[in-house]
Amino acid sequence: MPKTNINTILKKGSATRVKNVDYSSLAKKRELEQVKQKSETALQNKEVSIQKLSRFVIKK
Amino acid sequence: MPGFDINKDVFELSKKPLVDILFEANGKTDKQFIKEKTHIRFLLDYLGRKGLDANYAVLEENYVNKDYLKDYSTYYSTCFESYPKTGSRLHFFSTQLTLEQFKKRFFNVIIAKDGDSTKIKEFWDEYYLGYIVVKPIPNLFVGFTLLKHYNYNSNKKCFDSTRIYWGIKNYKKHIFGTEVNIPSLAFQEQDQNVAACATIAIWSMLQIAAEDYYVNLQSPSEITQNGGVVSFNGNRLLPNKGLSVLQMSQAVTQNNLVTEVRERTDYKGDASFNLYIKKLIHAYSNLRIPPILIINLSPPDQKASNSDVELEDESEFDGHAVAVSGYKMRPLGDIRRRNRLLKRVSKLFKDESITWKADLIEKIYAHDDQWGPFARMTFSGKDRINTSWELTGAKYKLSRTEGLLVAVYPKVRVAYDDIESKVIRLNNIFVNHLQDQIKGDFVWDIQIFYSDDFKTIIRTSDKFDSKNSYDKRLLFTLQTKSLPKYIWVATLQIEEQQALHFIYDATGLSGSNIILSIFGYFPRFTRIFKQILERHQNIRNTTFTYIFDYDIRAYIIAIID
Repeated sequence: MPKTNINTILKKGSATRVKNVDYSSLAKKRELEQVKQKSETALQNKEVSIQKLSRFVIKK
Repeated sequence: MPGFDINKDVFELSKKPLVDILFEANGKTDKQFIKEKTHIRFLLDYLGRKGLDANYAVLEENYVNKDYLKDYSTYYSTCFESYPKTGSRLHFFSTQLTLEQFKKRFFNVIIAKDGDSTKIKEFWDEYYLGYIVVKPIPNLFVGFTLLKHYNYNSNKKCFDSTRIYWGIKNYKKHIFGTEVNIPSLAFQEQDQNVAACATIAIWSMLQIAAEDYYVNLQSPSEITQNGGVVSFNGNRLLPNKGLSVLQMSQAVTQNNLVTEVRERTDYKGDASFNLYIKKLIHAYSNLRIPPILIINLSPPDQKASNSDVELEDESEFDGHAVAVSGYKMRPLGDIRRRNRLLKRVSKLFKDESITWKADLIEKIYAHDDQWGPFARMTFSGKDRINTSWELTGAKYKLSRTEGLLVAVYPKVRVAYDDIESKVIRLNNIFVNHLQDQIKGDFVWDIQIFYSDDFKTIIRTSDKFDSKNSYDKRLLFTLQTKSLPKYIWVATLQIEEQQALHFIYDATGLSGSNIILSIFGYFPRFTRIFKQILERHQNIRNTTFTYIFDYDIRAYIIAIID
């Protein structure tokens, strides 16, 4: 038997079948849109503006 | 030139205070100035009873230090005042031996034939704490310093397993003819002539990267001059009054690394900027290149709270840079304590819906060139940080985190943010399908690895049963998988249990699907994940397929089960 026991992470009797999620429903579409937005925002953190950079004078 | 005298150059620190030793060794600085110097206050604490507990010091005069020698030839030698080209080296020891016993042991160790004998190993590995080079210049005399970190010996009182020092290396230094191993990260203070804090932070950052044959390790004056031809405001570069972030990046790039810069005012995420900083520090820590944290020591609102300080224009601030080499992380296993923390965090930042392991970082240890090595800094609130500076007055009570400069090897083309973006999407799949069925919370952990290091971690993990055929096959498949030198690993945990590793190509092309492999420790959980993907692989909803970079099949193929 593997050393890792599934009961340490899953509730008893659960996950015997994969839960069905209707991704075509309006609620899920909205939720996915929000996830997409959040994911895109994470990417934008790479963009550092040149103007702001000039403020940083590391002199102390 | 007088030689080493064991009766004159060995000191018992309880009888001869550090300030007196430094006063005599330097010979160019007022004693009261030394007493009030922030570095000395720091060292008295770091080497004190609650710290490394040093009780003996040994002074080695006429010591040639390469960094000082380079700066001497670039700058000090052309001064009218005559400065020596050699300094002193002050060594520290912690032992229960009496002064006479210590001197006798010291004498015998220095002349010993067998460097591997138990007593000699004990002397250097346990008693010896490291050294400070005392430069022969006035006031700013703390030169190349190598002091062991608090966790160098698990038997010491200052040892704490929740502290992780990843930005260190084993320096092999010659001390009185013996090669000694010192686990540390080199430190020195700025001299305000050839270097300010920005330069010194870069100098500390380059210490480990320079082990790679193509990364240079330059002296402070060389680093400053790599920052540009002139200063950020058009003034002369030397004497140096600091570098801008752009100049810092140029200086790092001249040493054959590349830089990733992030800053507070451009941060767009929902979580606090401090959490973002923690995530970045944790994510890149396995490269062992200390990132540089940029701090506003005295932000305007902090100044405003002190009636004697006028509110200044935020376009200029007391910018400070420190090299981060470690952190203290709350144990994940301590669920009760962690939940309390998460409750507090979620109260502060309601929009942060994902739990990140990096959020458990409580403190960082940074080389602050105006205090000392491994200086404690504690995160506070959304973008504040407590530093040693608060000891110098109310003006510096609560500083602000302003940015982070991360140096990476040029081949690391994929940034942390690219992987976080993917994890935000993947998390939605697990929340939708499995949230109700797991015991506890999903926790995400993103880190870059050398692929060889990652394979070693997995191979030596106690999660695999060496007698189980499934485990052995999984391990073999992963060990023989062709991987690039650098990989990003996004790990999905359920509470403290690691469930799945998503391995991405850190050297991959921007805009391409970079998933390489997915595997986990729970065969049933891995198969459930595979079933979810297989069931949804024909969905034509583009927002859904965006979750998998429009290539759900690549994810299915990547699963090792």
